Amino acid sequence: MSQEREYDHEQFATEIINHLDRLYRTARHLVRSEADAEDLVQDTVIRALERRHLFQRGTHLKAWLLTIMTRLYINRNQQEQRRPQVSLEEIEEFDLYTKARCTGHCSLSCDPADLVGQRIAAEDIRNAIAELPEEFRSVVVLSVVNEMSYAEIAGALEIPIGTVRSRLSRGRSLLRRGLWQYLQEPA
Amino acid sequence: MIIGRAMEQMCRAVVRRLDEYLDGELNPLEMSLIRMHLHLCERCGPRYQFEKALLASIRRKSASLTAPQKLGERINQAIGEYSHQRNR
Repeated sequence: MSQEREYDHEQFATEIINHLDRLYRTARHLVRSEADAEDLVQDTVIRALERRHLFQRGTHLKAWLLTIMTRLYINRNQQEQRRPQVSLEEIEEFDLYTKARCTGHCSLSCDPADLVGQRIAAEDIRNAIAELPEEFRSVVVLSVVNEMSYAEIAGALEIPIGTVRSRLSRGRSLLRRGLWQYLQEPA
Repeated sequence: MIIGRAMEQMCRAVVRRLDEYLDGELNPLEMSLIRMHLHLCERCGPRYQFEKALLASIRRKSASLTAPQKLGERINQAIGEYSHQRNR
């Protein structure tokens, strides 16, 4: 019996390790320092092992692990949470598509989608996400980077789905504005 | 004139819901109506292709970051230590 339990534990640990790259890049988006990101990954893995009995086999391990990571991150950043939040009303929609079309950077491509693909590097995306206010960064990282559903994000952040929608809408607008700065830099 | 204004209103409504459409988070009727509009509208169709490509680019480039080997070693060690403590 105890051998069976040990196999399950090892198998579960192996399944968690399969998500290590995703956990690492998510942590790098959430926290700025690489050292803090590695600590967050380790704490997430250990917490997941401690709570293995709560995970239902056959459900989404990715979403479960990212939920653990996000809650660990939020609990550690209570101080930042208490800072005055950006008002949703203050954030205007940013139309990156129209800007990219009108930009005149057509030496590379006149298709704005190609322009974005060619001119924006992975590091630009990381920097633009890092610059987002925390209340928007979490939802953007979980949705845009990790393709979690709105219901999964609502569960992870313990907020209503309506709040996920509104924060994501504003977060994406701020992200587009941030990416526009990198598009404007000389090639 | 009336048809033009109605079309503009439809375009504005579609653009407002485009992110949710890309995420597959609208109800089936809304998904279907927007899909039809994007197929027919010369303004909204290219905008949708751009946003779809932008999202794909962000995801693809984000996925290029992988965990360093030393982190993998550190995690394996932490798992080993945890297992050892459990078995005491």
